[in-house]
Amino acid sequence: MIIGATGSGKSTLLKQFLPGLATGKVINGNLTKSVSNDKFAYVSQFVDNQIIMETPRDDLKFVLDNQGCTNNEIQLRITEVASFLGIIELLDKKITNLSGGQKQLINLAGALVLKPQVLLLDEPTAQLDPITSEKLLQMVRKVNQEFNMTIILVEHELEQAVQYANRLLVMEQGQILVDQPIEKGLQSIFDNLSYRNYLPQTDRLVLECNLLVDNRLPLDNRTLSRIVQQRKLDLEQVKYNESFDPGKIIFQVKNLNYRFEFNGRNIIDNVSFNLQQGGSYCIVGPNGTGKTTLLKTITQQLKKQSGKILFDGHKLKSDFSQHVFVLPQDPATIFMKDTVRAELNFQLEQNSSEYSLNEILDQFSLTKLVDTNPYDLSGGQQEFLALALGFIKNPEILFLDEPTKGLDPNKRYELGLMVKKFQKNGGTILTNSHDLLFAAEYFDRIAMMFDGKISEFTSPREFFCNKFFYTTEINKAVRDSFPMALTWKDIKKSES
Amino acid sequence: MNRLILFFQKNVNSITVFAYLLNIILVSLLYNNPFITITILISLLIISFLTRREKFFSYIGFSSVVFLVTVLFNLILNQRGTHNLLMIGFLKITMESLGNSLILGLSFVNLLWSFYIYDSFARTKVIFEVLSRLFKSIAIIFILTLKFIPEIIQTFTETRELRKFRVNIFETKGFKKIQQTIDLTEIILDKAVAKFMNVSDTLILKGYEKQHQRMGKIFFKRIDYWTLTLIVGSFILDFWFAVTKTGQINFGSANLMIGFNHKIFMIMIINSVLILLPLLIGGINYQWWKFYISKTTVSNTITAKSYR
Repeated sequence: MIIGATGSGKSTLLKQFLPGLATGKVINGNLTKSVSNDKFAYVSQFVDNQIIMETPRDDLKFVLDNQGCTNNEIQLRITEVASFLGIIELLDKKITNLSGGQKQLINLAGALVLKPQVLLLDEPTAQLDPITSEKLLQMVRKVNQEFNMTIILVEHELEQAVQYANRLLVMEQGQILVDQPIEKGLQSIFDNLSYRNYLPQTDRLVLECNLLVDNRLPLDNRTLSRIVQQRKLDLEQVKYNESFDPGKIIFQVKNLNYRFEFNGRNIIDNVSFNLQQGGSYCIVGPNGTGKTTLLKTITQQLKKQSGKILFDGHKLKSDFSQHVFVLPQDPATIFMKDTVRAELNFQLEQNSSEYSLNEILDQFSLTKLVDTNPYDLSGGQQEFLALALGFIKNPEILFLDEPTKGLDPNKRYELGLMVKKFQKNGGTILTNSHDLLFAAEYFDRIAMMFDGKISEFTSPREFFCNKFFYTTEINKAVRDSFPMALTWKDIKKSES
Repeated sequence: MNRLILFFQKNVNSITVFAYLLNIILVSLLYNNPFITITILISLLIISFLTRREKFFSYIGFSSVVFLVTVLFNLILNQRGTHNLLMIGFLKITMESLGNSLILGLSFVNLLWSFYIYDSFARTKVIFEVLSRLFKSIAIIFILTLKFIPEIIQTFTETRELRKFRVNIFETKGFKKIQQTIDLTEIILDKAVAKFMNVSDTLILKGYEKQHQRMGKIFFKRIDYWTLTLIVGSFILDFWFAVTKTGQINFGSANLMIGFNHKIFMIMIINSVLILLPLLIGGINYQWWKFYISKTTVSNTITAKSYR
């Protein structure tokens, strides 16, 4: 498993194994492989870009046709891989009707059907919700265990995948900083302050509270639960303050409905909620439940079919877009210029901002990338550039769609601080996110969306502590001892 | 999609589907005798409705507009004829010009509906397999285009919408508006190139550049031989009718003659059968299954029972 900061070179390293995809030029050193190039298969984070044909069966056949397989072999290989991954019923469905998780399983099938010896996975769960991600990773583990296949997994965080990995590599500015077996690797990360945020919440808790005796890292939730129960008297819940005192209602949505087809189901189904000035709101929920469509509808990117949307007590007018900023799921969509400098200067000019270019570059860690084309930035860097544009605008409401996608834990922490700072200055934020930890740590109110319907916004503790499956790992692990704990920070060693 | 048509689509190979689609386009182009074009239109509408119902009514609207516009334009451009019906200023409408206009409108509409069916039936893989057998480089351009065009449309829509949140002043007229449109186009092209590269990477991963042999080994079953025989037979007949100008009228003439004889009737029947072929083949097989196979299959499974 390879982790590292956004833009540290993880994906570039991974692609060196595949000459057809390798970018840049090797300036020195050699890459020695004991298996031929065609024994490497690759799955990227871009779920939709990897499927060419209209159905999974056609796509798998396309791959095998290119390999020159006979019809009999094609049939057998598709049968094998579909049975193994449990996707038989998906084979003849249209790709457009599949969820993100199902599409990523098809992409995995497309790689496995080649019978590789090494499987390269570049952030395969980046666009998936936590439960779907876990299912995919379990499948990857099955491949690893049953076929003894080597898996090289690039990830931004360790939280889920760490349970399945044997070795941990940390990359920093193109260099390998750590290359150790997983247990030692986790300890090394803990010892290095700049990487502590990468640790899974469960391991971070035991290391921070010094609870580890004879257990081996990484810890699963059951082990952590046992340790915490045994040491309950030595621990205490950190006092928390969930006071929420925002201003007037600034944005109202009443009985909103939206569907894509005349007789189709309502993607947004009678949704109503209010946003109060200075509040931060997060909508969580699995893939494909209508979160992005809701965001697009309330920001007038899609035309609502019925319902009311009020901004500052009035119907939305043409100048609504001047008061708000939208960060879409693919941040590159909002770029308009050739360089990072030009993008930032354009926004500073548009909003007659008091900030200087250098201040912004420094705040968003973009100084070294000032002359880079925005499309050449890594996923996380693009996300940060897009966020910089939003914060320069200093809108009244900031709408963010999956803002932590592609961000490493340190960058996610920085984003959390920016959200808080923006809020402190009177700004209001509405976010869609799969990232439950981010939602729990930085937002005042959380709601869940499913089947086009949205639950009431409640405080993070009220929201997560009532959930059984859809909650943070710490809450799952220690709910018997500390039911209100959501992150490792919520539990500390007792001072008495 | 209707289950009888789905049966056809699932049980014939890509060559047969392609031949069927080419033939219905050809049939829509060849004839302009209104008896034939109306029969063809009815058959096309039946298949279209059964194939892709969800877009049928919006396409009816679209094709009606095209029909009306074609008729109106032709009434203005071709005012020949001696049997006056109406005079409005410079516009003289005669029996002949109205006939010509309606015939042209019908022909256009038939062509539109044949492409509607083509769009409903043609799967990427069908076209790709056929193309790659003949022109490999065209096949790759086809597949890239097919992935690429919807991406560009999506990029255009998203960029136009999201630009509102970054730009404060939108010019509404004059040179500055043109400049803004040019800027938007440039932005979209930049983004499109990035997306194009993603598709290209995917093709590399799927091994297209090292393709060992011709794509898609196509196997012919009895149903393919029968269907292709019917299609080729009707193609030969259509070709012969076209050479002998049967089924065609003296379109555009001031002396419009619309005839009907046994040959016209034959063309109507042949072409209707050909267009309705998926429905007929599906229907025959369904009846065969329902009244013979399912009754002779000794099975107590719920599926077999429900078929009986």
